[in-house]
Amino acid sequence: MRNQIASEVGKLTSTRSIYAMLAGLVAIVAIGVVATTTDGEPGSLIAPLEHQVFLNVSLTIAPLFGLLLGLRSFTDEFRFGSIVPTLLASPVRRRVLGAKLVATAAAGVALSLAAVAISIAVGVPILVVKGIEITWSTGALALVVGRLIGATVLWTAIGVGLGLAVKHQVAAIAGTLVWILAAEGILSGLVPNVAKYFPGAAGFAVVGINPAELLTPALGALLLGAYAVVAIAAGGFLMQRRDIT
Amino acid sequence: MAANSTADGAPVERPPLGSPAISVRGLTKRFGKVTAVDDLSLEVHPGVVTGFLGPNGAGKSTTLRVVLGLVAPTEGSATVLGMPYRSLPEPTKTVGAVLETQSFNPLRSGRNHLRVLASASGIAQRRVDEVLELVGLEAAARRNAGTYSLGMRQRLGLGAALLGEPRILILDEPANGLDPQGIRWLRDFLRGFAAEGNAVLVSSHVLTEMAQLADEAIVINRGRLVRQASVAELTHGSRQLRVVTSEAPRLATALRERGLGVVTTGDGELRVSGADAARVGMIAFETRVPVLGLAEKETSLEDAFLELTEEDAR
Repeated sequence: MRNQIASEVGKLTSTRSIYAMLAGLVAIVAIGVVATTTDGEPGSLIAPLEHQVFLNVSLTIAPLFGLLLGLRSFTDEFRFGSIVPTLLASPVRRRVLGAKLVATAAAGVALSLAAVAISIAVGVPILVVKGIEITWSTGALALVVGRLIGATVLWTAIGVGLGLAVKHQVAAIAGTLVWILAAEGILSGLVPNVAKYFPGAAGFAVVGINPAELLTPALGALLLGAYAVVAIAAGGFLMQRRDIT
Repeated sequence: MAANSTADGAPVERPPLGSPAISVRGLTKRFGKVTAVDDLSLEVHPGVVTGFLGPNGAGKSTTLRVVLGLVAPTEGSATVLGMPYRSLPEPTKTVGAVLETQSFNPLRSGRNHLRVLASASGIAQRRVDEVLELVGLEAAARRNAGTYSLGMRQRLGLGAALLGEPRILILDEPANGLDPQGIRWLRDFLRGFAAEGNAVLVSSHVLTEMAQLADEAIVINRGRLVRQASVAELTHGSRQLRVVTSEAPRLATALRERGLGVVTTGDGELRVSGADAARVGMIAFETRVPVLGLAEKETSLEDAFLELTEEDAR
């Protein structure tokens, strides 16, 4: 499968879209961090770095970009017809699936790290200018980053599986975003005890957002992992049977 | 030919290719209620260019996709060198295929498109530049493939097929979008490739191209095999004579009395089958009918094809 992974990494890095996504992520995170730090409640600003509210910007946005990356992995190929040469070169289809999971996960990790780096680079100087003393614990900060990476990797896997199952790019991306950004929000107001088990809520739980209402990060990760397994199994099952016409 | 040569152009001796290179047995493919391919059997042998002919919707593309493991057969099987495509240890080094003119991300350069395909098959990256030169795309290699003309897209597809230096080529409507020079180049290339003992299966519904490209022809219609024969055989056999005369009815009667097939077309022209020009000339002389024109009309592949598919439709 090494060849397939090399090929998938090559696909990711040989068009401009990954760099456009990176630039977009950096811009959104930077703007979000500026907004939360300049506008932040004083109470949230004196906490140690790992608990800074401004970190939440990257913790919520980066996994979403990981999801997009995953959703695009197969749907790009179906959309452009490149699935044909891909499967001619690698007729054992589960190898292509495996390689895409690995390659998008790696790209997702890179995006997550970039998001955290840019938020610290933008947020810390603003706090310093505001005269707030920054403290941090390396272990706690590593845990935050680790959870972000875990969540992003799981989201890329969910995206890869869903994209493979749905095939149609616009339907896959629009459907997923509407569910996570709108439907789950509405349902969490109506049936909060059920809604916290939905994938979006599980994803927020993994990165430790809103711990009072959501699951613990460990439970969230377990649940999000289960969603990823289901998405991959569904996509893989359909892929094995699908005729490429 | 460069497809089978080392970097410095020296030809490489390759062991004979197994025969049949491609074998389809009792293949049936149904999409829902539509039967695209119906109990089709055929063989493709090395050393010749085999044309795969049929009108649009005859089941050509579906058959090729079953051979390449992209479409699962409903019944029957398709093998390459005796093996299903998906079981080939090095598929792209065995078979090169061009199925569609658009099979690349338009935002990726032609060169990068070939590079990612090469790495998927474990093919050295320097082969990419060899192939770009071979198909004449060096100048455009670093441009996004979305900017390519139809002919350039065909060349990029062919380049992808040739990356693994395969012994078998499968091309679906490759002449689409090629200019006359491009078609000529393709013909010479395929002829040379086949002459080295390799196998070529090339589909088309444009019969004039096929007559130039292929040696063998497999004709299918509505998913079924109509005929497998050499192109020469197909175009031969039903040779006709065009006879122009000022006394068409008299000559027609005389020819029919001697057991020849005659069709009158008006304008004093007869279509005669079952005899050569000398015999018809003698009969006209004996009947004392003036012959104003006498020409052999070779049946084109197109005529043969139409005849075959019409027979099939009846």
